[in-house]
Amino acid sequence: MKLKHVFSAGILLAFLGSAILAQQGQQGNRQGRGRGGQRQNRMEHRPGDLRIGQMAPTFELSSLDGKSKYDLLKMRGEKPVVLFFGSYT
Amino acid sequence: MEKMYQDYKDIVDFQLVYIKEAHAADSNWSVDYAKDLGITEHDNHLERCTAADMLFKDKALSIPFLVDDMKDAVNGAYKAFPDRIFLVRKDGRLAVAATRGPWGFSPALTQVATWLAEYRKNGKEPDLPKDAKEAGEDVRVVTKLEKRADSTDKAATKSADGEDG
Repeated sequence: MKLKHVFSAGILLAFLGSAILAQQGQQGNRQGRGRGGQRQNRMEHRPGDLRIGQMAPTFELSSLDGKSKYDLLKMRGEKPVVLFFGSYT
Repeated sequence: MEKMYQDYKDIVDFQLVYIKEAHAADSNWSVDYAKDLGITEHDNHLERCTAADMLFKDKALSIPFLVDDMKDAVNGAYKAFPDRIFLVRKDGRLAVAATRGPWGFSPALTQVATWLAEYRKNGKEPDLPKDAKEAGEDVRVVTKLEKRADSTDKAATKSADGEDG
């Protein structure tokens, strides 16, 4: 009889433990800890990132051929500007 | 990107800012084609220009290129590495600000295309979304303009800190 109680308690504890672990796993995925969550986090802005509505930092850079300069500030009031940042690789 | 430039270059200014390599052959994140092309981390301005030249010619691009300085000043200000897209309104505020990296690039390209189509159709810039950030500080990035070492144009030797007048 005593052995039967111990066995039942063991099963109950195992069930409760599984339920708790499953819940923690779901919370982890929601917080981006899972494989899919990591990808979602990559899509999010990081602290300090420029956001819609903020002023775009102005700058002056040389053109590729080195023969002219471009100043983003001079485009104010003239035209919208699309900036692509990147490299070959 | 090139098609977008061709479609809207009459009403919008486009610039590709060439920044440090994302997957240079001698980096921890190297890719095979970088090794094949011999593109390594840029040690100087000419190397950066040479890599940009290769992209410009190999992909038959006509979009204007700018070259970030060797301090990566503009990249740093925009937190653009490895790649990123922004759309700047005429008032200087950002209408599109992609998340950085390839995961953000394609969605932002779609956002930009939608914005441009609306701008073309209505003849005015789309309003900023209601949840847009405040304009905030107007930041000027200090860059060091360098002359291409293989350029013969003396006019290109200028500095952004006031020496060029």
